[in-house]
Amino acid sequence: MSIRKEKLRFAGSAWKLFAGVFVVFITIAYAQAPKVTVKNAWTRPPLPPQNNIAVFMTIDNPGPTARSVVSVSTPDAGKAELHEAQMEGNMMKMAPIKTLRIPPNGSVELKPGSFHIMCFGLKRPLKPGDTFSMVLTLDDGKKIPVAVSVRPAQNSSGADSSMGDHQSPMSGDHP
Amino acid sequence: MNLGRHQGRLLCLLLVTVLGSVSCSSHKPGVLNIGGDFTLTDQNGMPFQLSSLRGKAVLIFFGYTSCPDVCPTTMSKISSVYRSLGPEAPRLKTLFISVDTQRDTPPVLKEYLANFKGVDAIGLTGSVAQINKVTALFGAEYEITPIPGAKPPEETYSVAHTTEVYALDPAGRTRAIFDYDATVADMTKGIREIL
Repeated sequence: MSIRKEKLRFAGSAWKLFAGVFVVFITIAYAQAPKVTVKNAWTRPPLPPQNNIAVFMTIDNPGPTARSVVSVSTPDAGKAELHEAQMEGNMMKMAPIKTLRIPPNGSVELKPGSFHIMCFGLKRPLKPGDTFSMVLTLDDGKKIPVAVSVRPAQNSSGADSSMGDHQSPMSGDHP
Repeated sequence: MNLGRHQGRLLCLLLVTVLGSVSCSSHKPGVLNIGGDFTLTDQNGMPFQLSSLRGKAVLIFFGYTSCPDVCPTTMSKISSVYRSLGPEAPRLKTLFISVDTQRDTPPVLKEYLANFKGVDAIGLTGSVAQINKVTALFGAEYEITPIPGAKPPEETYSVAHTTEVYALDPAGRTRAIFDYDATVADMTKGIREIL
């Protein structure tokens, strides 16, 4: 009898322990719910006399709900805007867009010839190797700080002022 | 007899196919029915006439200096084409014709083109009527659309433009059109064929 009681008591406490662990696990999982993240944020140096840049990045949404970027900002430019470039016939058209949807369990790539963030009126010079900060605001109010790296122009199909005698073919940059 | 006739037809068909493919693979780009001489203003504020470049192959690209994406990408690609051409590079001239006549003055074009040191480029501008005449010659398109409510330093209008690059042979005839996706290798090969 006493052995059976011991077994029952043990089973009861094991169950409580399991339930406790489960609750803790759920809490942690909830606290660490998949967050929208940004990777590979880059830009080219501006091409004088222009003082604007296009910023590119990949935005991942590992969560089960679609999210949208509703605004972009940077202290380093007069204004930042979400833009989309689209081919219409043989013409490339650029237009500001209000929001950028990131599908659930998916990602959106901001890249040349497609979505990008335009930064107008840079407040400081940007050269390869520099980084500057941006903040993306999502539709749920969350803000994502982004460090944008300024790539050497020859790696990003930009100007070739710093190319010197490099012979690296750029065909890889172009599909 | 019937079988023989069939075989004969088949053989003919085969011959035509083989000859056709051989002639295609060695075929040089034909002369396209677009283009022609024009006069615009260069980056030094001087008159420029296309016919002054006879003897050189010419790449013509319609763009604008505030372009964030297509123009830097294309000019950069052209820069790589110059490097790929090696000793033949001095036989190629590039014309960057601005469709943004309001902002792209000769000094702006001059400063902008200095970003692309590897490209032997001439920046061209003119009146809207002059630019329209040249785009019409090549069948290029552009579109300027005001952006409601936009204030500087934002762009107050957007510019859409043809992304293709036109290649002219040393006689000034249009021989090839490279689309936006053309690789450096595609362009280098195409230019070598018309040089």
